[in-house]
Amino acid sequence: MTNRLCYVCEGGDCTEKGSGDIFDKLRDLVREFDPNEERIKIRRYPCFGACEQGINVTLYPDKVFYSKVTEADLPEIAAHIAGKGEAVQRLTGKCEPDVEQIIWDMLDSPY
Amino acid sequence: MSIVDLEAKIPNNVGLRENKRLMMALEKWQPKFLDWWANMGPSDFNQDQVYLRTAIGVGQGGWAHFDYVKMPDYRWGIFLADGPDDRKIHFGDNVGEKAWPEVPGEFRNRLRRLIVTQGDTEPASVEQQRMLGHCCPSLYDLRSLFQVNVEEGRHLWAMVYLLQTHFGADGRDEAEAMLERHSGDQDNPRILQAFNYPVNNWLDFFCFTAFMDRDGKYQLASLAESSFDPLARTTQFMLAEEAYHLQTGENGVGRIVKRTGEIMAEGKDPRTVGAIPLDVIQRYVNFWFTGSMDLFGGEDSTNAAEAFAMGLKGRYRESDGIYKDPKALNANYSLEMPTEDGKIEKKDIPLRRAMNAVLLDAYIADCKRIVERWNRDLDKLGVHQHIQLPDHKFNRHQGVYAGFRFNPAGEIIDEATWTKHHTDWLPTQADRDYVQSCMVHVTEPGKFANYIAPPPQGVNNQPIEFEYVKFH
Amino acid sequence: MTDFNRHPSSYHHWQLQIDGDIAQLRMNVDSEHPFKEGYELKLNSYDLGVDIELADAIQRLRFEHPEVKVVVVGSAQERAFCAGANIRMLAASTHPFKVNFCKYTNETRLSLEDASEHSGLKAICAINAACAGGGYELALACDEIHLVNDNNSAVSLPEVPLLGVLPGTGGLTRLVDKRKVRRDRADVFCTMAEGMRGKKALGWGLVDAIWPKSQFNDKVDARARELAASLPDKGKKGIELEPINAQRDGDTYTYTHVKVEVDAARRLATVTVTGPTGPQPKTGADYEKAGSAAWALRCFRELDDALLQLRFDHEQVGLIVLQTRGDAAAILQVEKDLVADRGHWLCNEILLQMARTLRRWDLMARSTYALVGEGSCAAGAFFEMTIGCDRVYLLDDENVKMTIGPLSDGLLPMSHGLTRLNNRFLAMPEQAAKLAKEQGSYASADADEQGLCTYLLDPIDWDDDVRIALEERVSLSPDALTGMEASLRFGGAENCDSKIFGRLSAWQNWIFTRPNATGEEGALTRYGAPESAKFDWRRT
Repeated sequence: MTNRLCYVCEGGDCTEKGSGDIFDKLRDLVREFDPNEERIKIRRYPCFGACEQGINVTLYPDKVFYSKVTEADLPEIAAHIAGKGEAVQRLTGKCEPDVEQIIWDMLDSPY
Repeated sequence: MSIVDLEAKIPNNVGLRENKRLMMALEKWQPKFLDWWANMGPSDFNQDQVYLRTAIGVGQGGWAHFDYVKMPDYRWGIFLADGPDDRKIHFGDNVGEKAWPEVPGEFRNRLRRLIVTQGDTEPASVEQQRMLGHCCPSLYDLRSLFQVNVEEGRHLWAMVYLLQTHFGADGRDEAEAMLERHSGDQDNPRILQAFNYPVNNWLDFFCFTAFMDRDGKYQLASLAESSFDPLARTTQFMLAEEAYHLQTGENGVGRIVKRTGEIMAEGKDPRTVGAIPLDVIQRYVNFWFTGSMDLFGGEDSTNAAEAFAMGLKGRYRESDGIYKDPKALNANYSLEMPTEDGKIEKKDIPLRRAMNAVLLDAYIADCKRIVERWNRDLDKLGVHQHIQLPDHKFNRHQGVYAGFRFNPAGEIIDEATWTKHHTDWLPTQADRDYVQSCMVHVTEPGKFANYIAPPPQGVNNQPIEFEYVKFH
Repeated sequence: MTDFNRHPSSYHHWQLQIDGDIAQLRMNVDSEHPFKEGYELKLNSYDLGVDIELADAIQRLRFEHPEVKVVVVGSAQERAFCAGANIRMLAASTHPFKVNFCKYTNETRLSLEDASEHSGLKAICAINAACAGGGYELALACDEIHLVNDNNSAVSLPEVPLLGVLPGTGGLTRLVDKRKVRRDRADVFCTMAEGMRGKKALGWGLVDAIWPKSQFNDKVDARARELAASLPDKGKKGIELEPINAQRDGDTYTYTHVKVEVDAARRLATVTVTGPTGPQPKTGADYEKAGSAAWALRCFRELDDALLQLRFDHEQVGLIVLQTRGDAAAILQVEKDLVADRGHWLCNEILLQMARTLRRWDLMARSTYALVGEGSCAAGAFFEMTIGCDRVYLLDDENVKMTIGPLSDGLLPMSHGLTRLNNRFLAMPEQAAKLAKEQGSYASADADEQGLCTYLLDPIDWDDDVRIALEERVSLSPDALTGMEASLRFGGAENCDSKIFGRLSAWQNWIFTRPNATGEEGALTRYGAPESAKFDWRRT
C-alpha cells in the first residue's frame, strides 16, 4: 500500500468545532492498522481555509478533502486511510476546488 | 505526556523546579518582563478583567482554557510540545543523525541569532499595538487584541527560555536586551525594520496579524523543523497559538471587507457612513503584504543555504516528508530575476540557496487563500469589485526585487510611472487620515463600529454580546 | 593593462566631500560595477576596483587637499558600513590575484596610517551599520573608531569561522599590536562570526566610542571638528594629480621616467628608472607651481603604477631586473632641496610618496636583481632601490658608481622601520651609520669594498654571468622563492607593518591554497554553496 499523509485542520474554526478530539481519535484508529506510523502519518495542519465546512481532514497522495467531519465518520475515514475501505463520498466535494487546490499544490512541491 | 507545573511562579512543563540555575535566571528576568509589560504593553488596561484563553497544558484542550484575568496576572509560562525522545534530524547534511538536545558548539552563535531575531519580533508587535485599545471597534475585538498581546508575550517567554537554558551568559544578556529594544525607538529599535512601523489603527492591526503574523507562522514552522530539539518543540507549541492570531487578522480584514461590501450592496458610499472603501483596504493590503514578504530574507541567500545545510531551519512542513530530497541537493529553483534592461528572466539557482524563496512561495499561496476567502464574501453580497493580492515583486525593499520598480501586476516599470502611480497602490496620508477618522471607540457589549461586521460567532461558545472585557 | 587612474568626479563606489578642514569619505559601493564580471558587490562589499578608488581618494586628500586635517571614513548606505572583501569575488579569483589583492588593500590602509603619522591627516571611522571583515580592518587602519550603538550593528572578523581563511588586511595584527586588545579576547572575537556590538565592543577595546543612533552623526561631526581644531595647519591649496598613463607596445610599458619591458618567455621583466632632466623645483612653493609633473613626484607615481601592472597583469614574471639611468648629481640635488624644505607640506608629501613606492618595491613577491652596469645611475633613491634588491650585480668599471644621498639616513624607511643600509648591515651598524653620514659616491671596486654589491663582475664576464644568474633564478620554485625572499629581505625586529605583510605572505598564502579553504569541499569554496565545508582535521 502507498504511504499516506493525513492532515487534520487545527485552524480557529475547526478547533472550536472540536478538531482536537477528532485528531486524537483518528490517530488512535489509524494506529490499529499501522501502530508505528510507518506508512501513515497523521498530522495537524494550521487551517486549510475552508473554515465554513469544518472540521476538515485531507488525505494525500489520494487528494481527498473531507469536510464537515464528525466523530461518527472516523471509523470509515480511518479504514480508507489504512487502505481497507473506499473514500467516504458523502464527506467529499463540499469545499471550493480552488481552496482544495492550494493544499495539493503545496504537497505536490516540485522540490 | 510531560507534566505541567501550574502552581509554580512560572507555569511550565520543562521541570523548572528541578533546574535551580534556570529557575533563578528566569525568576530574575520575570520582574523585568512585568515592568516592560507595564510600561510598553497595552496602555491603560492592566486593571481590567479580560476574558482570555490561557495555556495550562500542551495536550489537547490544555491550552484552550478561558477565564477572566487581569493581563499582568496572565500566566506566562513555558511550554514545549511533546515529542518523541529519539527524534532524528530529517533534513540537511546531517539527516538521519539524532536530533540535538543541546546546542552544538559550532552552531551556537547562529542559532542564538535565529532565536534572538525571532524573539525580538514578539515584544515588538505588542509595543506596536499598545495604543489600539483606546479606539477598539468592539469589546470582542478588544479581547482579541489582548489575547494576541499576551500570547506574543508568552512567545517572548518561550524564546527567552531557550536563551537562558542553552546559551549561558550571552543568552542572559540577549534576554535582557529583548526588553531594552523598543519598536520605533530611533536609538534602540527592534531588529527587523517592519517591526518598527507604527500600527495606528485597526485596519493596520488586522493587516498586521493577517500578513506579518503569517510570516511569523512560516518562520516558526521552519524553526519547528530544526535539528535543535528544544527549539523545534518550543516553536511547535507557539505555532498552535500563532494560528489564532492569523485567524484574528484574516477574520478582521474579512469583516471590514464584508461590512464595506454590505454598504456597497445597499448602494451607499462607504465614506458617507464611516466605513472603509475597498480601494483604501486594497492599498493597506498592498503595504502590509509586501512588507511582510521582506521579512523572509533574500530569495537567493547563502545564509538560508547554510541554515538548511546545518539543519537549523527546514522547509515548511519538512517533517511530513513531502519534499523529494531531504538534503535538497542536485536540484535547482527557478527564480525570476530582473535584468538591467528592464526585463525579467528566469534563472536557476541551487535549491538550498532558494530556501527563503521556497518558504515565501508557501506563504504567498496561503495569502492568496485568505484574499479569495474575503472575495467570496463580496461575491455573496453581489459586489464584484475584489481585493487583489499584489505580485510578489511589487514594492520590495529586500531581496532580488529591491531597487527595481514593479507595478502590482508584477510588470517592471520606470521611475516616472512609479512616481505617478504609487499613490494609487500604497496608502496615502489622506487614506491614513480617513481610516483614523473611522476609528470610533465602541465598548458597549454586542455593538460594533460601523466599518466592521460582527463575527459569525463569539469566543468559546459565548454570545457575541458577551462582556469580553470588564472595565474596572 | 589595468588602469589604476581614478578621479572623484567618476567614482563608482565612494563619495568624497570636502568641508573646510574635514573630509567626508563615504563608501557607497555600486553593486552593479564589479571590477570583473561574475559577482555583485552587495552590502558595501569591496573588490579591487573599490579599493583603487579608496587609494585614489587618500592620495588626493594628501596632495590636492592639504587643508584637510581629518577624514571621516563612513558609509552612505543605511544597512551596511562595509561587509568586507566580496566573498564570491575571492572564491572566483586565482590564488595570485587573491594575494595581490590583499597586498594592495594592505598598502592602501597603510597609506592611511602613514598619512596620520606623517602628514597630519587623521582618520575617524564612523561605523553606522554592520561592519564585517575587511570593513572592520579598514576601521582598524583609522585613528579612531566610532560605532553606532543600536543593539544591532556589530564589528566582526568572521573570516576564520565562516570562510576558513584569515582576515587578509592586517586585522589580526592590528587588533593585538595596534589596538592592544588582550590576546584571549582577540581570540574570542576572531572566532565569533557575528562579532560584537555596543558596550561590549567598547569594553574590549574594539572601538573607541559608541553613540546612540539619533546622535551618531552629530557626535562624530563634533569629534571631527574637535580633532581638526587640535591639529596644525599644513597648506591652503593643493596640487592636482594628473593621471599616470603608460604607452603600451606589446609587452613594453613606456612612461616618462620609467620603462618596463616584459620578456614573457624568459619570465623576466626589466624596470628602468630615469633621473630628472632639465630644471627642477627647489622649494615647496616651486613644487606647488610645478604640480604633479615634477620629476620627484611623477617618477615615483609612475614606478608605483608600473609595479602594480607587474603584480596584476604579469603573474608569471618571476624576476625583475632593475636598471637605473640618469645624472646622479641631478637626483641628489632634488633630494637635497626636498630635505631642505621638508617643513613645507608638499616636500613632505613627495618624500612620503617616494618612501611608500620604495616599500611597494621591497614587497614585490618577485625576485629582484639590480644590474649596475654601464650607464647606470644607482644614486639617491635609485641607490635605495638598488640595495633593496635581493642581489646587486655591479660592473667592475671605474665609471660605474653607487652614490648615497641624503634620503638614505631614515627618510625612506622600509616596512619594518629600518633604513635599507641598517637592514643590509645588521652585523655592522657602524658601517651603515658611516655610509649614511658620508653620503659618498663609490666607484665600483670601492662600492664592493663597502659591501654594497653582491657580485663585482669583470666586464668580460658580465654578459654571461648575468645571463646565467637570471636563468638560474627563474628556474627555482616560485613558492619557495616568495617565502625565502620575504624572510631574508626584512632582517631585525618586526613592527606592525612588517608583521602584516609577513603574515600575509606566509600564513594567508598557505591557507588560501589549502584544501580546507579552497579545495572542492573547502570553506571558502563552499561559502554560500548548498553544502557545508569538510575539513581535513590534521593540524600542522
